[in-house]
Amino acid sequence: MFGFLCVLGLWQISCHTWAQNLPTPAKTWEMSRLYITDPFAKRGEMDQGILRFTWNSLVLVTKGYLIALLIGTPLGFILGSSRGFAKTFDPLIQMLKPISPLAWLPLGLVLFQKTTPSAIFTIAICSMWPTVLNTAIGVRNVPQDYLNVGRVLRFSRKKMLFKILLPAALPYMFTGYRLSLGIAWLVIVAAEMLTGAPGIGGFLWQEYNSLIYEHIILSIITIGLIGFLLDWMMQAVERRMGAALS
Amino acid sequence: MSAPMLELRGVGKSYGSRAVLRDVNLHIFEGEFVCAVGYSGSGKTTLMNMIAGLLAPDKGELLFDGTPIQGPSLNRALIFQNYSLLPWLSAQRNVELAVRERFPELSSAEVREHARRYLQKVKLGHALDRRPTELSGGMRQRVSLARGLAMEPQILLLDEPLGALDALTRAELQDEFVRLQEQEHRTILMITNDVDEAVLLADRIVPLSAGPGATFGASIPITTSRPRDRRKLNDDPCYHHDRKAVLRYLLAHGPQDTARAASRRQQRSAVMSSALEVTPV
Repeated sequence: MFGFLCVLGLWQISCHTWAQNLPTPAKTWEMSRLYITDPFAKRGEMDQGILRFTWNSLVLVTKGYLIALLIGTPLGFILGSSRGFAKTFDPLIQMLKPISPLAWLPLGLVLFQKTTPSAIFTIAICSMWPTVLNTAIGVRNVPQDYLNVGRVLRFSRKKMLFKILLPAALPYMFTGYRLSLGIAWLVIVAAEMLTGAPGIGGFLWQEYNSLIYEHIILSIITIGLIGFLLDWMMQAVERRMGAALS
Repeated sequence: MSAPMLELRGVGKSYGSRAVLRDVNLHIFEGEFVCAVGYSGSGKTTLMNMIAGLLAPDKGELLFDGTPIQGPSLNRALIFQNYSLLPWLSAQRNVELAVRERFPELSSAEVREHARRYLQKVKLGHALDRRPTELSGGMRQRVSLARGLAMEPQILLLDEPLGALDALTRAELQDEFVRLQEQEHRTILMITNDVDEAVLLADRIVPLSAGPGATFGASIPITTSRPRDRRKLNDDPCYHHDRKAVLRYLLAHGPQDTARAASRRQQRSAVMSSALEVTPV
C-alpha cells in the first residue's frame, strides 16, 4: 500500500515538473470514471467499458494460448524424450524464442489476410516457448527410479507416458503454462495496437491517437492488474499441482 | 533339488574400462532365501539390475527357469533401495499399479482387494490412502515390499531394502521379514552390506569381494535354526559360527588401501585371472 502511495506521489510531482503532458491522478480518475463505473457498456466499437475491452482481449488471448499449449506440450514431450530431436531442434527454438511479437504479426497478416487470426497466430507462436522448454525439462528430469518402476512392470509406451512421464513432469509443465500465459498477455497489447482490434491494447493506441492521455494510463493500470490476476491464478493451480505431486 | 530357478554363469560387467563385476556365478533354488553380502560400491546394485533385466551383462549369461534373461519380467519383482514409489499415488494405488500389470484378468474390485490384503500383511492397513511423502522411511519400504509381494513373483529381488533406514526401524523390518518369510516361503535374493542382517534372514549367504572386479566367494550355508529370534541368537553357537565364516571371507577380500597390499592384490588378481582366463582389471 505504501508503495502505491509513493508512486502516486511521484506521479503527481512529475505532472507539475518535468512531464507537463502527463495527466494528473485526479484528472485521470475524472476522465476514466465512466469506463470504470460502467465497465461493460458498449457505446461504440472503440468506446466501450474497460472490462468489456478486457474481455475481448482475454478471448483472443485464450484462443492463442490454448493453441500454444496444444502444440507446445506434445512438442516439449518429444523434445524431452528424444535426445536426437533435442539436438536438432533446440538451436532452432532458441532462435525463434527471442523474436518479438511485432515481427510475427506482419507475417501472420501475410499468412491469414485477416487481423484476428493473425493476432491469434502471433500470441500462439510467442507464448509457446516456455511451455515447450519447461515440458522438455520436466520430461528429461523424470527420476530414473520412476522409469525403472515402469520398466520392471513392463509398461507399454502408452502406459509409460500416462502413468509415469506425464504425472512426473506435470509440475514443470504448469510452470511453463504459467510463463506462457504471462507472455500471451504481453503480446496481446502489441497485437491489438497493430491490428486496431477492439481490446484493451487497441483502445490504448486509439486514445493515444485521439490525444486522450488519461485513458492510456487507465489502460496501462488495467493491463497490469489483469496480468497480475492471471499470474496469481496460475500460481495457485501450480502450487496445488506441486503439493499433490511432491 | 531340481534345476536352479536362477543361474548366473561367469557374469561380468564393466563401465568403460572399470570392471565392476567379473566371473560371477550363482545358483538359487526355489524356496531359498539367499543373501549376497558385500562392501558398498562392490557392484551389488549392478548385479541386481542385471538379474531384474534392467541391464545387460558384458560377459557370461543369466538364466531364469533355464532361459536367458532378456529384459524385465513380472516374475522377478525388484524392490529398490530407495523404495521408488510414485509420489503422486497413494500407498494403495502404488500397489494396485503393479497388481493390475501382473494380473490383468482381475476386476478393479479384485485388484483393490488384492492390494489391500498385501498392505495389511505388511501392517499398513491403516495407511492405505496416504501418499509416500506422508509415510516414514520404514513405512515406505513396507509399501514397496507389499508391491513386490503382491505381484506374487517367482523370485523377489531385494536391493539393499533396509539400507536407507535408521537402526531401530531396520531391526523392526528385519523381524518383519523373518515373520513374512515364515508365512510365505518365497524365493528371495537379497543384497545387503549388513552381515548380522544376512545371518538373521538367509538360508545361505554368498559373500561378494570388494570391487573393482568384485566376484562371489563360495556360498556359506546358514545353519542357525529357524524360527529365528534376534533375542535368542546370541545364545546360539551356530549363529556365531555362521557369522564368523562370512566375516572371515569379507575381511580377507576387503578393499586394500596400503600400496603394498594393492600391489600384492594386483599380483594375486593377475594370477587368479589368468587361471580363470578372464581379462584382468
